Amino acid sequence: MKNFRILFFVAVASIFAACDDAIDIKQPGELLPEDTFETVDDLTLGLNAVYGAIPGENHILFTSIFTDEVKLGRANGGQGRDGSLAFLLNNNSGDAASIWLSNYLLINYANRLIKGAENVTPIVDEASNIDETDDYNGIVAEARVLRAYGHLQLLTFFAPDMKDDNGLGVIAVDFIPTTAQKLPRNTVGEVFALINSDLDAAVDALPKRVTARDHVSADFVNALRARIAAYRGRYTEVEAYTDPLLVASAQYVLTKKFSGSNTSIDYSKTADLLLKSDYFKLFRDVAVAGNSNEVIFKAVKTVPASNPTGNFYQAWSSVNSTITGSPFYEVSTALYNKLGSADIRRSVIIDPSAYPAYTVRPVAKYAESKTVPLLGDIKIMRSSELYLLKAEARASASDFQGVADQVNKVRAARYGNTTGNIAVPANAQEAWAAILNERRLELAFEGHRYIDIKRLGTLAGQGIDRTEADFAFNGAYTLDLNDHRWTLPVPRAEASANPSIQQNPGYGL
Amino acid sequence: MKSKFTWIFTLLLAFFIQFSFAQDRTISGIVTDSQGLPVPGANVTVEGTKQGVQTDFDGKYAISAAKGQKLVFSYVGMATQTIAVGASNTISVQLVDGIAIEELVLEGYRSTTRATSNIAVTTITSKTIEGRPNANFIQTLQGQVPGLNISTGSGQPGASSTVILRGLGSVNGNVEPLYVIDGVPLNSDNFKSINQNDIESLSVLKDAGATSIYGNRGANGVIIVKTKRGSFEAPLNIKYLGTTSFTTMQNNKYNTMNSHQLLTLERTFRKGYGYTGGTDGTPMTDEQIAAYGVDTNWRNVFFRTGVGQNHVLSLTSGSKNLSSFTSLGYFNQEGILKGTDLKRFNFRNNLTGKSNDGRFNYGTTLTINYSQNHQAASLGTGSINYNPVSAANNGAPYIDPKWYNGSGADLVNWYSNGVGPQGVGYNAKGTLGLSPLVLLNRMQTGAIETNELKMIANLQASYKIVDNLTLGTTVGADYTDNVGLDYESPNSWTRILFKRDGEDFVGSETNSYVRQFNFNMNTSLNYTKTFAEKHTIDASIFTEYYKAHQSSFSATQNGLDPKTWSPGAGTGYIPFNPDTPRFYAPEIGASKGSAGLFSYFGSVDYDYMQRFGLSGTVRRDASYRFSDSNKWGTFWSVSGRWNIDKESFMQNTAFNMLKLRASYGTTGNQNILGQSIFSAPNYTRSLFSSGAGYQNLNSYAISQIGNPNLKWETIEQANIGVDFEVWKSRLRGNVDVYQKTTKDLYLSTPISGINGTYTLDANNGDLRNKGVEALLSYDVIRTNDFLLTLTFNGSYNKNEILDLPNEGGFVDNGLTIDAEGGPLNQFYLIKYAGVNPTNGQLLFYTKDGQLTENPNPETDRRFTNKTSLTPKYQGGFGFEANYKGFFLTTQFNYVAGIYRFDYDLLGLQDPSSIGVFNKSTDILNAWTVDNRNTDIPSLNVTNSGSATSSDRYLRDASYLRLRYASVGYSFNKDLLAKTPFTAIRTFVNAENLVTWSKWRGWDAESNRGADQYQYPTPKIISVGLELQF
Repeated sequence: MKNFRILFFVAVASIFAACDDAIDIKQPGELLPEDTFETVDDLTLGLNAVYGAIPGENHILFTSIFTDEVKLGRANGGQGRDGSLAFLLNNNSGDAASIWLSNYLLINYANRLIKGAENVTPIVDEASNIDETDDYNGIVAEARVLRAYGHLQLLTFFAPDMKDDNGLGVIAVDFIPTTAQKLPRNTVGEVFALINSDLDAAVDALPKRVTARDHVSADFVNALRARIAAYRGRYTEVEAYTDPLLVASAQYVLTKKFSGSNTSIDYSKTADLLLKSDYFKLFRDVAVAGNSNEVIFKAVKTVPASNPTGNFYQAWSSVNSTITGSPFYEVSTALYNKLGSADIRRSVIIDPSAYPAYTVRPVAKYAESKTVPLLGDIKIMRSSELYLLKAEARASASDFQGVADQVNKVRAARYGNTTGNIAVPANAQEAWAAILNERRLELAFEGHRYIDIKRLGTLAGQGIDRTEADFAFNGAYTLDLNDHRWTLPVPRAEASANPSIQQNPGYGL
Repeated sequence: MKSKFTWIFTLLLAFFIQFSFAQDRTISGIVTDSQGLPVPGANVTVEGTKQGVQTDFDGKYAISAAKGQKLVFSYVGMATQTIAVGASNTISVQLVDGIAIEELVLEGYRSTTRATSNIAVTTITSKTIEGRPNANFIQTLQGQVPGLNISTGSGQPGASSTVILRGLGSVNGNVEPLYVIDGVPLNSDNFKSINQNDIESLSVLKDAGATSIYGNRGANGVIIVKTKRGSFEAPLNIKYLGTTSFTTMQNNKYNTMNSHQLLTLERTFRKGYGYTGGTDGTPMTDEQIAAYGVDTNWRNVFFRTGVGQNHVLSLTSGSKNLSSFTSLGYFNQEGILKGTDLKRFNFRNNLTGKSNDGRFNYGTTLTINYSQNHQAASLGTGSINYNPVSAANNGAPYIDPKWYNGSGADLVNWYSNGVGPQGVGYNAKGTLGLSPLVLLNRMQTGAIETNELKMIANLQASYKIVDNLTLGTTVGADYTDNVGLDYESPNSWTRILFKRDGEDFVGSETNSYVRQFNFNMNTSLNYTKTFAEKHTIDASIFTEYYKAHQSSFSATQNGLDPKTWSPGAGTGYIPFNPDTPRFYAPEIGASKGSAGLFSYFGSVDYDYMQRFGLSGTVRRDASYRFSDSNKWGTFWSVSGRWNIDKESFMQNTAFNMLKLRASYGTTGNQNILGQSIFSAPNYTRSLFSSGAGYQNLNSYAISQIGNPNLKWETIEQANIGVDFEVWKSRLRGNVDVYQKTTKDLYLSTPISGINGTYTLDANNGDLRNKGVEALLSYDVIRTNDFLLTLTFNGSYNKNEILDLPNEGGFVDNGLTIDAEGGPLNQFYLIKYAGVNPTNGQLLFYTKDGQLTENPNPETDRRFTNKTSLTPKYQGGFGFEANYKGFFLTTQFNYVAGIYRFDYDLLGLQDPSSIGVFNKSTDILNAWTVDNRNTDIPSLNVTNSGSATSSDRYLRDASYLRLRYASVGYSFNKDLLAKTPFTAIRTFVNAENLVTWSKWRGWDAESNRGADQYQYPTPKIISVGLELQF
């Protein structure tokens, strides 16, 4: 009977005592949404996530491969051959899916923070001299600017025509969506209205919080407004935003080719360039002395301490950006041919180890940062772009001298003298071509070339510029300027969830 | 002598006389097995009559018989006993193991006989498993069980196989059966530590009638493993089994080039050493190529003949109330890929005991296993510095392994500068051609080692409270401790290559552990009774409690001192220095999780004179995964049988057994994401998490969008089956048809990207599998000296998606598509037409059949109805012959209706990497203006990008394989009489000896949809010796 008692005890225990602890289990470290944002400090941590979500690399890589910035590299192991290098783009393309999603992720993070902030009251305690109001307002303002930036990026790649306010835009999201929502695309005008309201609401709160260029500032807001005006073809509005930022007293003087009084550089040595060239330093994320820092906003990229490589690992090169770093892609012959030997941009775009033969030309714009190879901050706005936006405004006003003036400001900074200056364009097409060409050099590998050819190609009478010898392997030399592939397809993943989404012309759903 | 004879004679005579005066009365008793445990479902018949009953759950029976009649006690798997009814009204017998155990039907929570079982089940016995050299016993089941598809995609010793019963029943959830070892349900199919020679039998439960009682985990079938036990009152038996095995590669049919062929090709293609290896960088001349002395077969460099050993010593003995089975095992197998192996040590002790009155019975099992495993890195990837198979497959033959001098730094210099001994830099700086040497360095400088300690213990006990009522409990625990060591030494080429400025010490080492503890407790109350000698009721109620815990920890040291570092010893760690914060920072990580289930359930089984049977189960299950409103699920089944052979109209037919079975029921799958009980633990809740955000600062980000509506996947299954034995059981078999529908399929349901993700996991969609299975065996010759049995099993399964949540009813996965009305993951590809004879470009078909060189992947892909997941047809056949102690067994295995991509072939035919990698001789037949009629495009083909979404490299992976053959001899007992041995058996086994397939790669068998640089499964030849004394 003793056995029976033991068994009976076990049986009873299993029936009555054990049940709940097996089926009501909370895993360690669960943080529920309602417990997340309770103080302004919590919002600061939330903002760190929003900044961390700024998409940096995808659109840059896609742009460089799909357009004419790269060719097959020496160590190409098949990368790109069956995709962008052959202009193969369809609704299943990974690039479209990731550009669409990553920007909506940024917007989603921003919306969650903005919404979460509604339940937080900043502490104002005059007795202890504590006032969180500026921080609180500033955090919300930064989130709104990043939300606007996300929407702008989406329009840039997915709107067939940004100049048509009634045309297809993207889904404008200023709320936390539910998983059941299936929204149609807003018009371009509606999306810009949201972008503008975010920028307008944010611009006043920012100066009280943001000073560093690794956060979005009021100046960035205005620079972004200039870019938006140009993208929308509203050239009369551009200079109202660019000019205050381009006066000599502003902080965004074009970064010079040389540091101080240096005038001779050994272009084969990274160390020498790092010592003697401010422009080179800028792209290695090394501080530039004085006010010669043209960066208005950059998204800082870091890797965990032990990572031997950074955010551009396996992008254009496998190991590092030197000529022995196994480049999958190299700078295209067409782009290389445009770079003058005195142009410091050649040493930034192509790794110094390629000098002087340049038979192998690894992409080096993100060669190294913070001693980590293939890491680089994403420069989202530099003042050189503002000069070229201003040049666009001048071109649209048929002021060709003005175009040359603005372009030459950039070129003079890059050459360190006026030897690279262009002549005054003879006509509108030449003016637009000069701008498109300068943007190609100045903003190479920064994710602009795709939208620039689309925006300016017809005006400039230029499109994809691929050297035939680079593309003998697939024969893909040109892409018509009216081709539907100048707008990305709405990804299939979106379409399969969302029956009300409209596809761009030329693609299937 | 004379007196003895007289005594026997007298006894016989006495029976005869008593028979004459017989009178019916009720005889009762208990039937027990060799361990003293009651045998439920044993048949008790009165010899020469049709009268018969079955023992109840406690082994009890009651039958009318007259004094002098003989009672026949039979139970499948045991020797039949015949006992005459004497003066006593009680006859209890102990049946001893004798007949093949195939006849025993394990149903998990109870056992029945084949005759009285209502369910679809296939049982495999120790005879099939013992002595086989597979490290993972699951591989042994391949081709033996109709409807059970086992595919192994790796030749790594101990690698897990993918086991699918009756087609894929889930998309994202667990698709593999539940494994129950001695009553302990396991959380995974990790069997590399289990000694297969301890297994007595394996039962594969298939239909809902059998699996529904496993409710929450029975959806994909259940495999019940029973380990060996001793017998009461049995002398000590010692058994030794030793095997030595040799594993070798299976051949492929890729026809890779030799040095001369490749150099000539490179010269023609104007790329690579053949083009630049001549004097002063000019193309090589014919003489130079002919004189070139190196011709390396990289397969032979990276692969080897693996040698393995297996020793098992087992001891069984039993006293009156206690019996034990103890085994010790040592297993060691070298993988065919150098540097890979599995070593393990096993211990098992199974005890069985009972009280003097037989009312209390108990059994314990304890097994402790320790294994050490070395694996290759990055298999299946294009990682040319980690995956050794990549170089074995396409390393250039003109590179000599002797060039590698053991120094990673030298190799980095050759790679970077293109200068080295013997013209190592033959194909320019910084390219991938040197990868075979890099991989030699990897084999020397890096390793992935796993040490696993696995213990399973359980206690089963039952107590008969009163007659007909038994209380039972099973308590089991499964503990697994994995300790990992993964290192790259300071001499590693990769580490030196990625060395940063100022980084003086390279190399890294990760030490980690994962611990898992699963606890399971089952309590039951059973009632069984026979009414009016015709109606037997067997009813049980159960509760089951399951709890599991997991924790893990890992630490990585970056920076090792080459002089003092030793793998895993912790010596040579470079201290962290704030001046060089990026170099020697250690990384740590940890995790923890819990999981649990709770259930109560019941079953009723009714039998009418062994002619009809009806069973029902109902189970209420709760899972920790779901929110309160969906936490509980109810699953049920009904099953029935009609033993047609018991009917009078069957008495004079060839059938000695004929039974019709049917079942219908539901089971649940709560492992909605993969196989682990720990995955998706809180998917019902939206959660934020903290972690590295902008500039590596702490941040709060939404990490999971919850779906509070998550619930069980439910599988409804109907099954009809026939079991039969004909011509004195010479022909035996069964046939089953089934239809299995998964409802509330757990799928990645598309949601708008504005949520920051494209998918939310939700219950949406239906999937159906239906099929036919048959198992047959036929004794061609059955004499005392000679037994020849043919066996066959086969199955057909059709998988069909009934409903999907996506717009348009399909999910486009790129190369595959899930579409309503088609099978899961069918290939969705542009149809390849061949090579354009006019220009050597690839030609494809548009959707409407036009030829094009530039197909549109949006509009020209087609449904193929072909999948890689499970074959349409599969099975096995073979024969078993025994002649005077000699035995010969063969087992063929086939699968048909399965496809996958051969990317290895693609790589070997791809002209774009000529000059870097080796090629197949196929491309010597490439299109040229003089060779227009070919299936290999021009070496300068420009539209190969379009081929990636075409079926150009989709291949039929059906195969027929001589999966297993065994030949051996068992010494005659008479010969052994003067030796200390009671049995001696020697044998030679072969696994995967021959394969017939259109597949050109190393291994036609795989569990993937595409194969590239994978570790192929080997051929194994083993010799063995078994001794008993």
